[in-house]
Amino acid sequence: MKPPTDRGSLALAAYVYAVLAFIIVPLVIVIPMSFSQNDYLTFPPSGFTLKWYSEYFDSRQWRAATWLSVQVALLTALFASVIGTAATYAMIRGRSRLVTAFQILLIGPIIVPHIALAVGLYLFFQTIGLSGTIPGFVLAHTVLTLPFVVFTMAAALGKVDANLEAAAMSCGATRFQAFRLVTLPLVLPNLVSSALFAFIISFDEPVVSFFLSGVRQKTLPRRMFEDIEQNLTPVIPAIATLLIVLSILILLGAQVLRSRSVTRIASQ
Amino acid sequence: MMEARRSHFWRSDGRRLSGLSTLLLLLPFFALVAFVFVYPILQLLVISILEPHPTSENYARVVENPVHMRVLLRTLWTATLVTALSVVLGFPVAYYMSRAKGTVAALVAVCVILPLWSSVLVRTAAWSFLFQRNGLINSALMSLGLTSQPFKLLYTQSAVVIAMTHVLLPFMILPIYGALRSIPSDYARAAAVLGATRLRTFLEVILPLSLPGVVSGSLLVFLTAIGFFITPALLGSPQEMMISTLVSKQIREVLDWPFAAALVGVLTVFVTLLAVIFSKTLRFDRLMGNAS
Amino acid sequence: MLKTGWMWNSAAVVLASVLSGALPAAAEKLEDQLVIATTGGLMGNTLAKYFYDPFQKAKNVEIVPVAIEVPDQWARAKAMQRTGKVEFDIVTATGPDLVGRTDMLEKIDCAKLPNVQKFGVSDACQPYGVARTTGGMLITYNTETFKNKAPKTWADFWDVKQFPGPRGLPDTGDSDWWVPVAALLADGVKPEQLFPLDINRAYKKLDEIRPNVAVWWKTGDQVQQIMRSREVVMAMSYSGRALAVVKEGIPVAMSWDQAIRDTGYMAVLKGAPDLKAAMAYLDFFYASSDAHVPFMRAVNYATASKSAIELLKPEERNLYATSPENYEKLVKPDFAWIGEHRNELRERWMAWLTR
Repeated sequence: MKPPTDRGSLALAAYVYAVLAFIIVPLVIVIPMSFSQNDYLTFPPSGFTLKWYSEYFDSRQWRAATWLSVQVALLTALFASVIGTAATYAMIRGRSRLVTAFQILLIGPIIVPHIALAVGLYLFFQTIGLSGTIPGFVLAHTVLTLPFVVFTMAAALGKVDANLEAAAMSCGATRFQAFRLVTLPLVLPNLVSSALFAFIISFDEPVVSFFLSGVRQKTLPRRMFEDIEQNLTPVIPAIATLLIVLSILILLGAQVLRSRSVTRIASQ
Repeated sequence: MMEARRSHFWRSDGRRLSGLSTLLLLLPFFALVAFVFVYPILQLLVISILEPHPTSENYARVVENPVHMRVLLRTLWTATLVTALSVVLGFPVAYYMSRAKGTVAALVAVCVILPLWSSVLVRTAAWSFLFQRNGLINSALMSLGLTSQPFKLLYTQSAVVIAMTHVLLPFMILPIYGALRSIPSDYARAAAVLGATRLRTFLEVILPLSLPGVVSGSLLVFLTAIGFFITPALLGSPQEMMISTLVSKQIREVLDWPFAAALVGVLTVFVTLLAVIFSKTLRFDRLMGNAS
Repeated sequence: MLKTGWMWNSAAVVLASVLSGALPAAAEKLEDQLVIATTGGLMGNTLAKYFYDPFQKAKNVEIVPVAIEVPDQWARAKAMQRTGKVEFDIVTATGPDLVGRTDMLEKIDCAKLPNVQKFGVSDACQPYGVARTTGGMLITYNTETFKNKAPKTWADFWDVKQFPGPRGLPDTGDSDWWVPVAALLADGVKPEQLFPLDINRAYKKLDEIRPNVAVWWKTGDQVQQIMRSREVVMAMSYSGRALAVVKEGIPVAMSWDQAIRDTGYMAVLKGAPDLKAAMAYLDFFYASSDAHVPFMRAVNYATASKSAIELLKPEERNLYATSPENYEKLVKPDFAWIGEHRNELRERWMAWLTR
């Protein structure tokens, strides 16, 4: 692209940066608010204190909610990446007539509004005792994160030459050994990055958690929602700041993994 | 189209898996989706027509009660506004992104993708701080002397539309970006060689070819906006209630589950129909591929 | 063996029922735990300090507090009763709930709660609930905006010429009758002639104020926020929340004139697993007047303890709904009528609000 010299290009650039500011400012604004000394939110924030961070880390309830979310997100990442990779592998290497059904069921949980799924699961899990339990959250979040895993892994597995596996198998390896020794190392960075994304989706998921949370078992987003409505203090911007940092770390991690996967597959 | 997508994504070559192994590998996926997605949604639809007794009453209430129709129409209208605003804000960004290189491109990409992976709740809360009567927007307007009285922003329809646009904008930008990237650069060059101005090249070559991306992004934004819960719940006013808030009220306050199920049923069927009609333009693979 | 066991058991039952008539509930063997559902935050924490902890020590029953908003609590209670796995013992109910939700609640035998009889005001014990805290839905206003003339009544709340500025009204809990009641009072209906409510007249009056309502608040915290940030200059508020804002030093005052009485009751859920402990707690709540005074100061609501209000300083008394002066000004709603007309009230409210 030539450097923008004419008026049209400048106008376009100005417009684009205004939109980018619109995107970024709300994320940045929470940071100064988290250091405010007032007990309630005002702008501009006054003074500087770290007490809201220590309140978050010291509170048993916030810690419990965070720990629950961490457990759920870790298990979700594990299940989603294993189930998703298995299914993707089957779709790519198999001779299945289930392609259409697979695609519909994969996309369904993204298309159907989360409020619908949340209400459905609320009524269903309540009757079988899964409501407000870790398995309940994990099952629900796994379904929500599978599409991300499958699409990431489909792109990665599609790039791996199937003849490599075939060669390994003609040397006597079983299918599973061929996958484990040849294909898996090649797509491992993608697998880890899709697990990272599954983790963060689950960790931040508000709607299904809102309905599935029990009276004692509450995920972090559900606790935050309650505090925003019932007890709004700068603890919320403090947690928001921590969550944004977490998102940035995960994106960076995924980026590093992605660059590694490109070099690996390219150099095979 | 379907075949083309299949060959791209589910490409089968080399030595194929046996039918049995394929089935075994797919089993966890299908079992999970059946148990946690298909069954609860179906159960909801069953409740809506069988409780308190086999009846169409719950659906009749959705259609006949003007309150519910208003909420339904307002939801569609809000989703339309959000979609339109997303196109207007998102297209130039996608266009700029598709032509940028190096650091600029990376910077723009980060700005677009970072929000996608940060919590919806965080972003909604941030907007509620911005919209407060003594929040950043009003403080800025007043210190610039643009207004002497603070505006009422929080708990309005505009607040909901702006915040939802903010949350959904990446879903618009990424598909358009994908479409723009897939236009071979020769086309623009060819048009230039043939003497077209840049504006004409854009209007007659780039724009038509990027339309599938626009349609795909619009659908994604529209479909997601219809069922949006968190943002209207925190920033909206009951005077401008959206359907998800109504569902939540029915479930959690009025305790009328069959009617809530009927509302959800209407929503689900409507969204599914739209998705089926436009199934060919919805390119999830493109979105997911670019989002990470 | 089996037979003697049966005989012993029935003898114990007979003995227990004889004793329980004669002795306080403490003589009975209580369950090990007690699950109490009520709002979290200040209310939950203060209850724990002044009532849960002493009860645990005195009766050796572990109290499990569940922080939950009242509507959500009913939703979960309904789900529990539907599936037969009831987890809550004591729930929080409003006046109309004690009439409208009797199918979900355990009947309370007031004769077996001697402390409530002795220390509570006369109507503290109801067939389906025991009064916990009483406040009022009152007018709270910004004293800087209304320096010269302060609004007092609901007619003033409606009078946007004399008292201009954005208003706040509730869209939560019992707003489906609070707000119509305020509208009728603003329209000149006498408090004693309110019931049965003339709903059409109320909504006609509500149309007048609608354009001036800037916020329909959803939680007690929110009404505090909008008064602080001046999102509104006048609001209908829980008296306790208004008092909390006053104590923060914000220029806000409240008017008890025509405040609508709002009593929170403790009720026992039907099928409660720890029924005896629940009943013992209801009685225990009124056993110590000393605990009520600091409790009232902390939560900004009055309990129905006769003796506690007298222990307060006279000028302090006027901050609470149950002071003789304020109690007289309170509008006492007809809970039976509201309970019976709940669906109608709710539908009309929703229809009007979302119009």
